[in-house]
Amino acid sequence: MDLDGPAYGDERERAVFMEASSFGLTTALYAGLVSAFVASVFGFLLLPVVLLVVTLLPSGAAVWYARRRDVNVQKLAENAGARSTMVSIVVFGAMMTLTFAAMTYTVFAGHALLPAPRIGVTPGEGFLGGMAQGAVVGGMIGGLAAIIGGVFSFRRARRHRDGSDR
Amino acid sequence: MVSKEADSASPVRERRKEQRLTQADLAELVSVSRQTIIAVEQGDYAPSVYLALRIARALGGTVEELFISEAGDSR
Repeated sequence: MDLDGPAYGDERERAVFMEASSFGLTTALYAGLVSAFVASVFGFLLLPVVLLVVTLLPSGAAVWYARRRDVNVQKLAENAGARSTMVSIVVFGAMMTLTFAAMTYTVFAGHALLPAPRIGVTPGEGFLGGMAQGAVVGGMIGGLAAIIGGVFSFRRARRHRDGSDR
Repeated sequence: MVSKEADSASPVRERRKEQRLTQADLAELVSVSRQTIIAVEQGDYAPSVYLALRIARALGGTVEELFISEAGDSR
């Protein structure tokens, strides 16, 4: 990760890129919370915990990164007393409470709040079977194509840069 | 980010036109994208001191002339 590198463009583009990254991080945070809650409602016990950890990890990494550069994000939020910060804390706390409440129900009742939907897929049979086959093979090809495309565009950009340096 | 109140009379735009430079020319001179020059001229982006200096030098003016309004606010 080279945040001062040319891949982030000029200073305005870099600033917008950082805003976009914050937006993406916030979106991922809420998506992770909702996913953890949904998983807990269907009686999963390990998945919600994994999802919460995976959700919290980027936020923790961001706070750690800022602190290494002498910016205390938590302190900034506390000092600002912004309504948005308070809303985030309440939403996050409420979702965590609901997630663990659903898990508590599963542990004590011995069954989930809602039965988890079962999706049976026989490879090559019917619409779902064909779609599953297409998705897994297509995913592999897509991943390989992304690597090849990335390498080619990197080499083209280097050739272009070397040419303009001369 | 700053307001668009200075949209109609942008000293950067006026000076650039006086110099018969396109937005793309100025962008290349100061090593930023054309979109950034557009944002600066429209008052949507307040450049850093370093970029303001580069723009001022490229247009043959000063930072004060191009980026500070009469009230003393930066554009």
